[in-house]
Amino acid sequence: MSADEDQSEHELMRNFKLENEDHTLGTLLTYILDQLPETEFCAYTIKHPTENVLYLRLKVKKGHDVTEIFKKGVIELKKALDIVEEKFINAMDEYENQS
Amino acid sequence: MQTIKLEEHSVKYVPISQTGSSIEYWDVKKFKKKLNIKVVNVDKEDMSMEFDLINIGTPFVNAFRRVLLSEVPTMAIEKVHVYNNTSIIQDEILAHRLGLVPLKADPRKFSFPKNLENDAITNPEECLEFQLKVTCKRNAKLSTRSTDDDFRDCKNTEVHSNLIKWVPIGEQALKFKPEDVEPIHDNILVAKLRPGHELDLKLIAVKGIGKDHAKFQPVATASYRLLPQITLEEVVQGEKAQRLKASFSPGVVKLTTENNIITAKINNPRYDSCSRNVFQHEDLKDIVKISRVPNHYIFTIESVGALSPNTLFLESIQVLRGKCDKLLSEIKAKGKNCFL
Repeated sequence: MSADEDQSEHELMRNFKLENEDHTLGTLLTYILDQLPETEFCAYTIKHPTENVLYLRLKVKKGHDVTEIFKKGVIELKKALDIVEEKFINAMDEYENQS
Repeated sequence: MQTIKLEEHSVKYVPISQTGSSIEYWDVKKFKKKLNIKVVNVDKEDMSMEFDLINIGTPFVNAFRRVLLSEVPTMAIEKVHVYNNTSIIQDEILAHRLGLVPLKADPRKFSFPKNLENDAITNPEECLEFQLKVTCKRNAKLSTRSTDDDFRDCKNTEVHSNLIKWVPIGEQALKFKPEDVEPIHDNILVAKLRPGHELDLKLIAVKGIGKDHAKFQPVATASYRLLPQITLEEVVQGEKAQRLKASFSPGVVKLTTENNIITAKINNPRYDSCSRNVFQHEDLKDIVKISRVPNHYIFTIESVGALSPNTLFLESIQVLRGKCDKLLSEIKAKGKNCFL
């Protein structure tokens, strides 16, 4: 592999170090990122239970930017949360109207 | 869609691609279309609720549960200033017990204390102050006691949570009423006193999260399970039907009598404990099929009492959204160099 190709390969992947986060956000973010069409690989680890740090590894397909895709994942997650909130409020209204 | 089959000694593995939550590409529109939320029961008295989350990924459901347990804030007593304690219960044990008393105060109306190490938190935006001042005395008029061991004529031999009185600071008196902030339950035993014992305490409650200490947990439990599904392959009648009914949780199997023949029918599998007791009966074993519906989550929240369970669920969404915002602002600030 030439130096050029090697470098571009490196640019496609990255470790994100999220401090003070745990499995709550880890599973959610990897769940979303893993399903994005741009994602090649996504996984997270908490290296030691007493260490409050979450490492998220993300590799994207050629032609994409890792940070941008990570950002996209967070935005998609936020959108999903908005939908859950909206539907829950509707369900609650429906229940109260019934009784 | 395949269900998750519960067998006598095992649970049959179902590949995720066959549970309906297949790894297709993520699409918010599709997520919105598929997601179905239905409130099943709200018990205002017990502050509990049950609702169904259908076609939502497990990571979401689990995140809500984890956030409810450890990251939705509530108010709890954090500092106890002991001016006098001549009871037999030690200061630190008493302080710990007081911390566990659930308060009615709405945590959304307070901010997290900026300096928790500071013993005297006095900012009315950050704390609530309470007082517990009790003396145990013998009542001279009621000298009916026969021995010194008879304490029936004494006042305050038991200190209950109703004696914890709110002391408004700053403009708090205009903002809250005592019943909005004081302990939820009046009958929590805090300490026992004997004649001559005295408690004089100043209590300071702050906003905190369950991750820091369990006393800040807003829920007694928050849990989820998959909807059970039970099917009968054959008609079950007579004595067999009665045994079938006894093998499930109450209400799951219904017996109907027609021409003196009892027939069993699956009535409501929702509340089955999935104990799989039927598999102990050789003759019923192969007739009954028990499984769980993947992607149909039954979520239960039991609030401690400060906030209603539906508010708590919305708060948990808010906490998760806050986490996203934190990530986004770091990405915005540092660009490519974020989270290195």
